[in-house]
Amino acid sequence: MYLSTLPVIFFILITVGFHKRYRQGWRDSLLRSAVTWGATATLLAEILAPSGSFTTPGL
Amino acid sequence: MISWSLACLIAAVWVSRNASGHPVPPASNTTQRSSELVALAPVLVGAALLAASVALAAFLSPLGPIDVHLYHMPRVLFWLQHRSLGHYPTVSHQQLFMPPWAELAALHLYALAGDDRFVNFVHFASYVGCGIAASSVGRLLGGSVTAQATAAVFVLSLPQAVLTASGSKNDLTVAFWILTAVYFALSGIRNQRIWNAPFLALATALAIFTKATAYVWLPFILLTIYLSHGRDGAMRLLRSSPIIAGACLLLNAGHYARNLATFGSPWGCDAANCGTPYKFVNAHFGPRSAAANVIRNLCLHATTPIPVANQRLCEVAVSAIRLLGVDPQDGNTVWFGTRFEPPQYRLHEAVAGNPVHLALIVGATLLVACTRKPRAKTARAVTVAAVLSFIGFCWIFRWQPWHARMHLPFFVLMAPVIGAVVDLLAWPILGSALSIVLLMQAFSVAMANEMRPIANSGWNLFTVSREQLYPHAEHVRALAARLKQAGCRNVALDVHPSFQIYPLLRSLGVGSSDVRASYIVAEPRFERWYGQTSLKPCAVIYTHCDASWRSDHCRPLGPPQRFGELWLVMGFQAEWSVRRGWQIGAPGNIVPQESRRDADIVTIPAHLNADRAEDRGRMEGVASDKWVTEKGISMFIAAKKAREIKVRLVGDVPVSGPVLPQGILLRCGDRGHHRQLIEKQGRFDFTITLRCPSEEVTRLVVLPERSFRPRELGINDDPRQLAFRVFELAISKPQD
Repeated sequence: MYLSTLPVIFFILITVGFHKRYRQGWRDSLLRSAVTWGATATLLAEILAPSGSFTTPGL
Repeated sequence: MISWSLACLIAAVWVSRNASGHPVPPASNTTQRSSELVALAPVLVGAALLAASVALAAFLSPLGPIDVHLYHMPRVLFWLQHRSLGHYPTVSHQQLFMPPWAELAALHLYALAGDDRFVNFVHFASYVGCGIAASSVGRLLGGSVTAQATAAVFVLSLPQAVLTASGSKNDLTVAFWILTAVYFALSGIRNQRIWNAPFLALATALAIFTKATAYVWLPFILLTIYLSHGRDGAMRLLRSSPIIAGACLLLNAGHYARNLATFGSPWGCDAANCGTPYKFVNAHFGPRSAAANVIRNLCLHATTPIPVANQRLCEVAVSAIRLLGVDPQDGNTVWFGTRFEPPQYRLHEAVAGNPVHLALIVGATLLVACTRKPRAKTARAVTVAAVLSFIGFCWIFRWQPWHARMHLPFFVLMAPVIGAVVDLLAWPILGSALSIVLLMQAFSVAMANEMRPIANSGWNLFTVSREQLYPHAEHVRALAARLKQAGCRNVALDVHPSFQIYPLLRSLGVGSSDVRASYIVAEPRFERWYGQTSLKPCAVIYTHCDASWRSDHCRPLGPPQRFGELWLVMGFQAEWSVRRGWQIGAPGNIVPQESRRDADIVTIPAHLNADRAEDRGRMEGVASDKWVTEKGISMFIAAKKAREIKVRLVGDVPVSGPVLPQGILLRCGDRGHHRQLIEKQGRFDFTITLRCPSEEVTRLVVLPERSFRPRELGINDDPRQLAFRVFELAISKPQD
C-alpha cells in the first residue's frame, strides 16, 4: 500500500525541480510535472514490459 | 517498485543540483494580487471543499462505470498476469486497441498498492489538473486573479466533471492533456521560449495515447491557436511539428505496433468490437450531416430539471435537423441501436449534461465575438479553436446518447474564456458571484451522484460498502471462493463481451496472485498468440448459459454450477486449442446445484421478506440492500399445476429514479404476464393475479422494464429501466 506513494513522491520532487529551474510559478511547475510524470509512467511500462519484470511486489 | 524508486532517486539528485536555470519574470503587482486573493477566499475555500468531497467519493467508491468493468480495467489485470503490455486473446477487442495511457497509470498504482483502491485518483488528479490548467491558460490570456479563479471554478463545477472525477473513465484525463497542450502552446507563443516545445509535444502525445478522440480535438485547437498569431505563429508551429511528431511516435510506437500486428491497423478496429455495426466514425461526412450532429450533441446538454423545457428544446432541435433535410435518426451519423431523443435530467456520468455552463459559453462566445478590445484577441482565438474542434468532433464521430462526457475537452477549453469575459466586463464581483453559484450547484451534484452518492437519503457510500458496490459482487466472491476451495488456479473464460468481467478477475486474484485466467477465443487473429500450445484449465466460467443461443454451449464439459450470471464447470479433464476446440478426456461431475435446488423452490403460500438473508437468497436478483438488479427477480415456485397465482409485491422507487410512469413486468413460466404501472415515486404495494403454466414447478420473474413509457404522454422513452427496491413478496393461490 505504501509503495503506491512512490509515484507521488516522484511527482512532488520533479515539481520542486521545475519550480527551481523555470521560476514560472507553481501552476506551471505542476503542469510540467504532470507531463513528465505521464511520459515517465508510459516509458517505464513500455521498457519494463518486454523484460517481463512488470509485476506486483507481492508476486 | 525498483523502477519508481530509481526514478525518485534521479529526481532527488536533479532537484538538489537545480539552481535557478532561467531568468525570473518581472513580478506583477503583488499588493493587488494579494487583495484579490483575499477577496476570493470564499471561492477558493469552496472549490477546495468541492474537490475534497469528490476525492472522498473517489476513495470510497469502487471503480466504474460499466465500460471500466468491460475493458478499461480487465486489460490492467491481464497486463499484470502476463507481465507484458502485449495483446492477448479476448472477446472484448476494446481491451486491446483503445489508447491505454489512463490504464497504464492505473497499472502502476494497482501494481504498487496490490489493489485498485487508488485507481480512481488518476481521474481525480486529472479533474484537479484541469482546474489548474484552466486557471493557467486564463493567466496567459492576460486574466486577473479573479478571472483565473473563475476559469478554475468553471471547470471544477462542471456537472459532468464532478460526476466523472470520482470514477475511472478517461474523459477528464484526455481533457486535461488537451488543455495542458494548449497551455504550453500559448506559453511558447507568449514567452518565445523553446523550452515549452517538448512539453507541448509530450502533452499532445499523452492526449492521443489516452483517448482517440484527441486525434480530432487537438489538430483543430492547435492549428487555430498558432495560425491566429499570424506568420510568427505559423513558423512556431512548423518548428514544433517535428518535436510533436517525435513525441507522439515515442510514446505511441509500442501500442501502434501491437495494434498493427493484431488488427492490421495502428488504431485497431473501426467499431466497438471488430466487425460489429457499432462503428465510431460517421458513415457520411457531408456538411448537413455534420450540422445535424452538432445540433444532436448540443441537445445532450438540454438537461434542466424541468422535463418540459428539455422536451421543447429538443423538439426545436429535431425541427432544425429536419430543416437541414436530415433524418434525426439517420443511421449514418447516429450510434447503432440508439435513437436521438430528448435527454433526461440525470446525475449519472454517462448522460449528465452541463446546461448552465453551456449557456454561459454561448453568452461568452457572443461577447468575445462582438468586443473590439485588443486584449480579447487570444480569448477569441481560443473560442474559435474550441468551437471548431467541437464541430470537428461532431463531423467525425457518430452521435451517441452518452456523448456528453466526451465534450469535456470543449468545456474545459472554454473555461479560460469565461474568465476573460469576467475581466472584459470589468465587474470583478460578477466573477465571485458566478463562482459561488456554480460551486453551490456542483456541491448538490457531488452529493447526489447517482453512481457514488455521498449524501443520498436512499443509499450512499457510507451505508453500502465498497465491495458490495461492484457488479455481481456476491456471486463473483462465491465463485472465487469455490475455485479457491478446489485449489484451481488455471481458469478459462468463455464469456460474452457484454459481461462486466473486471470484478470477477479481481476476485479471482488475476494479476495479484498465481491464479491465471485465459479467454477461450477461436479468432484467427489470436492463433499466433496461442501457438501450438493447448489450454488445460481446471475450470471454465461461462456467461449467458440461460439464453437459448448459449444453453448448449455451456454443457460439453459437464453440468454447470450457477453463480448469478456466471456458470462454473470444474472437475473435467480436457484441453482446448484454437484449431481443434475442446478435446475432452472426462467430463466434469458437479451437480448443477443452482439451477433448481429443492431448497430454493418456494412453496406456495409463501411470504418472503427481503430483510431476511435466507429469503433474499431465494429471490435471486435481489441484492443485499434490497435493490432489484437489472435482470429482475427470478425464482422457482412449487405451483403444483395451479393455473393462477396471486402475487403481492411491496417495495419503493427512489426520488432520483427515472421519469415515471414505468412498468414492472411479472411473468409466470412462459404463460402469463402482467405489467404493473408504477406512476409515482415512493412506496408501492400491489397485488395481482397471474396465469401460470400447468407445471409442478415453474419460474416466477419480476422484471424492471426498460424504456416502457406510453408515447401518448408526449415525452420520450426513458432509456433507464425502473430502479426499485423490494421489501416483501407474497405468493399464494387466488382462493387463499
